Amino acid sequence: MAEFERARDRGLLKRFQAGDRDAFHEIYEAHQRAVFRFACLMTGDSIQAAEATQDVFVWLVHHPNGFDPERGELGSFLLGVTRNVLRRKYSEQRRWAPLDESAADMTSYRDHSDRAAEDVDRLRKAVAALPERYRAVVVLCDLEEKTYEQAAAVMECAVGTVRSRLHRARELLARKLVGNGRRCAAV
Amino acid sequence: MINHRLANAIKQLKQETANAGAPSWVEAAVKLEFDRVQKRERMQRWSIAACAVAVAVFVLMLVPRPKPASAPTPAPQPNAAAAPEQPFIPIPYVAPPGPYERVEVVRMDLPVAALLSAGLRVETADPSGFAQADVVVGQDGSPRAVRLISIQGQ
Repeated sequence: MAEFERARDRGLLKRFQAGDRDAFHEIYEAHQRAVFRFACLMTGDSIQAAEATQDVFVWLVHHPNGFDPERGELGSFLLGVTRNVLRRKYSEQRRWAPLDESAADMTSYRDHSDRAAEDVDRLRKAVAALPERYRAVVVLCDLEEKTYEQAAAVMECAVGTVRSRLHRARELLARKLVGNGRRCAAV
Repeated sequence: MINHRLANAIKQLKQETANAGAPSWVEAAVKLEFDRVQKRERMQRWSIAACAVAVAVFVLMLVPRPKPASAPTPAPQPNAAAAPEQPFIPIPYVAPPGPYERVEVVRMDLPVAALLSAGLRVETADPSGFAQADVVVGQDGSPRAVRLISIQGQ
């Protein structure tokens, strides 16, 4: 399946580099969900996620040769671009936008009637409050079901680093889930 | 227990976001940008082609014009018999003569450098020399094609 997707992406990329609009549309359709979901879970804000998704594909339009198919998968590459876009946005906004407000955005419409739903809300907030290196690894490995190798490619780090960060991130989330949020946020 | 709760919450959050996708305005904006970039690149390609044509025309303007037909340059024709069957080579980036356009063939001495810069292949080790050539001249006096006869100064 992965091979099929890789071959498909390679063909689409060639056509896109030659200026084929349909190929670009197909690339967008194939990857926009993953990019948006990743951005959404990283920011906890659907508007910011949409803006980041737009930035990622606009970047691709301006850098059609920015991805080398020999070096990995287009999907992982785009998530790496998304991460960089979000980092830049975050560093621009952190001076005046508290993270908790943005995290509240997605949870406002949720029904808190049962404990499971409450846990999901807490988890969402806890993920949004994690330091970026832990947040990215949780989103990629636990929520996006990427392999350690794929996550390492996105995060540009070693597989061992992904494992250790994921372990630490799960600990932080588990603590946050039972109400030790202050200690987690301070990490 | 805690890990179980965490695993459940992760599973549920995964399900909730499984079908999430970017809103349609993102797609519209991205496609608009794609079209804009493509249009800009097309314009750049045309500009480059136009510049190349302009340069070629400029170079051709530097090539010595033939004298009036009544008094053409009386060039010696020592090698004329040696290569009479050479085809005329159209000068790049110059429109070919019209179907009813009257043209003239004038034999003249041309700087090899001018022929080279006009894009014609001249096999010589000395680009500062002169070449004897038949030039097809259009009604407007501009050269259209060249047939190389011989290279002097070698």
